[in-house]
Amino acid sequence: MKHQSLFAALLCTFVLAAVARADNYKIDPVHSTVLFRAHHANVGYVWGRFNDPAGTFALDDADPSKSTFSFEIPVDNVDTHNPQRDAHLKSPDFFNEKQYPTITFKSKSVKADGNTLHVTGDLTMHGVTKPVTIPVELAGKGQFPPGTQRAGLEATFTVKMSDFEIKGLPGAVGDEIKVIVACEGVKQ
Amino acid sequence: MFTIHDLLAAAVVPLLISAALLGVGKWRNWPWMPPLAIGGGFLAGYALLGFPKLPPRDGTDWLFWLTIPLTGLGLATSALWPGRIWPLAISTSLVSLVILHPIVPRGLSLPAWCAVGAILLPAGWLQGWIVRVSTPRVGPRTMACSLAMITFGAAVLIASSHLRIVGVYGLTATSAFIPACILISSPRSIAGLATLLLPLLSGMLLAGHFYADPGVPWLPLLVLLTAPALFLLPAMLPASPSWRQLACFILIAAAVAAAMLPAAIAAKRASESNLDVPL
Repeated sequence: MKHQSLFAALLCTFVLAAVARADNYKIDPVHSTVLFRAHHANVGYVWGRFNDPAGTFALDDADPSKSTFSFEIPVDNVDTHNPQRDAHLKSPDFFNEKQYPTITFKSKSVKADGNTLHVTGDLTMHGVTKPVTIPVELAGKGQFPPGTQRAGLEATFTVKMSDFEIKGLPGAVGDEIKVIVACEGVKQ
Repeated sequence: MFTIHDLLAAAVVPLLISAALLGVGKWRNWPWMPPLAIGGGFLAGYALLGFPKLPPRDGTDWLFWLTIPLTGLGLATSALWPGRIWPLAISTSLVSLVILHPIVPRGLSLPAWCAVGAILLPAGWLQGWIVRVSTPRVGPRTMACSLAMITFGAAVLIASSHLRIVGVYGLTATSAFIPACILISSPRSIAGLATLLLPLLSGMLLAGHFYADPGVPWLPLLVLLTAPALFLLPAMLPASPSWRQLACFILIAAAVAAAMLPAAIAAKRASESNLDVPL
C-alpha cells in the first residue's frame, strides 16, 4: 500500500513537471528581423537592419516568469542599404565591429502583463553591458509547415548610444536609437 | 562633420596651450619644453572631446594614455639624450602593437601583428636617424613645419576613411604643433618632438587601416609613414640653408598632398552625392 502511494505520488510529480515544462524555441533567421532607427541631423529618420539574428527563447505558459530569452546579433550583418554607411557603422566611430563583433541580450527575469512579457536582462553592445527592460509581445503560436511548432515575438524599445560608449556622430546622428525586434522561433 | 565643440576642442585649445608653454620654453631657453607643450596641448584637446576610459578599452583610449609616457620620453630625449635613437625606435614599435592589440586576432592575425612590431623597430630607428642628421642641415623650424604637415595629412586621410574620431585627434595634434613651427629653435627640441610624434603617427595611421573596413588604403598609409625619410634629400643638397628649407617644404607638401588629397576628394564627393550620404 505504501509503495503504491509512493509510486502514485512520483507519477503525479513527473506528469505535472512534463505539463509545466517550458517550450524551447530556436530563432528562425529567415523570419526574424531586427530594425533600428536613428535621427539624422535632427531632420528625419534613417532606418537600418541587422540581418540573420540568432538565439533561443523558452516560453512557459504555466508560469511566464520562468520564460527565458537569449539573442545574438552579428554586427557585421548591419544593412542600411548603403555600403559606405554600413562600413562607417562597423568602424570604431560606432560599433567597432572588429573588436566587438556581436550584440547580445540575455534575460534575467520576466514579468507577465497580459499578452506582454516585461523582460529584464543584460544587453551587451560595444563591449558595454547594461540592464534593460524590454516589453515583449507574444505575436502568436502555430504550426507551419504542419508538424513544425512556431512562436512569434515582437519587441520595441529604445537605447542610447552614449550608454554603450558609442561615440557616433554628434550633431549628425541622434543619441537615441529605436529598435524593433520581430522574430519567430521554431520549437525544439 | 565637425561641430563647433569639436573645432574648439580639437583646434583652439591645443593651440593655445601649446603656444603658452612654448612661449615659456623659449623665454627660459628650455629645449625640453616643446615635447611637453605639444603633448600637453594634444592631451587637453583629446580630453575635451571625451575623456578616455581607464583601463583603456580600445585603440582610441590607448592613444591618449600612451601619449603621457611618450611626452615624458620626448622631454627626456630633448633634455638628456638628444643623440639617442633607440627610445624612438622602441616606442614606435610598442605604441603600434599596443594600439592594435585589442583587434587581435579577429581584425588582425597574430603573425601580422608581430610583423608590424618587427618592421616598425628598424623603421623607427631609421626615421630617428634621418631626423637627427637632417635637422642641423634643414633647421628645426622647417623640421617642425614638415612634421606638422605630415600629421595634418594623416589626420585628413584617417578622417576620410570611416575613422572620424581618430582623424579629429590627428587634427588636435596638428593644432598643438602649429606654434612649434614659429617658436621652436633648438635641434634638441626636434629630437624630443620626433620621439613623441612619430610613434603616435604610426599608431594612428595603422589604427586607421586595421580598425576600419575599408580603412586607410595601403599606399597613402605607407607614403605618410615613410614621409620623414624624405628629410634626407633636401638635407643632402649642396645649397644654402634657405634652398634646403624650401626643398624640404616642397617635398613634404607634395608627399602629403599625394597621400591625402585623393581620399579627401573622394570622401567629399561621396558626402555630396545623394546616393552615398553617410550618417
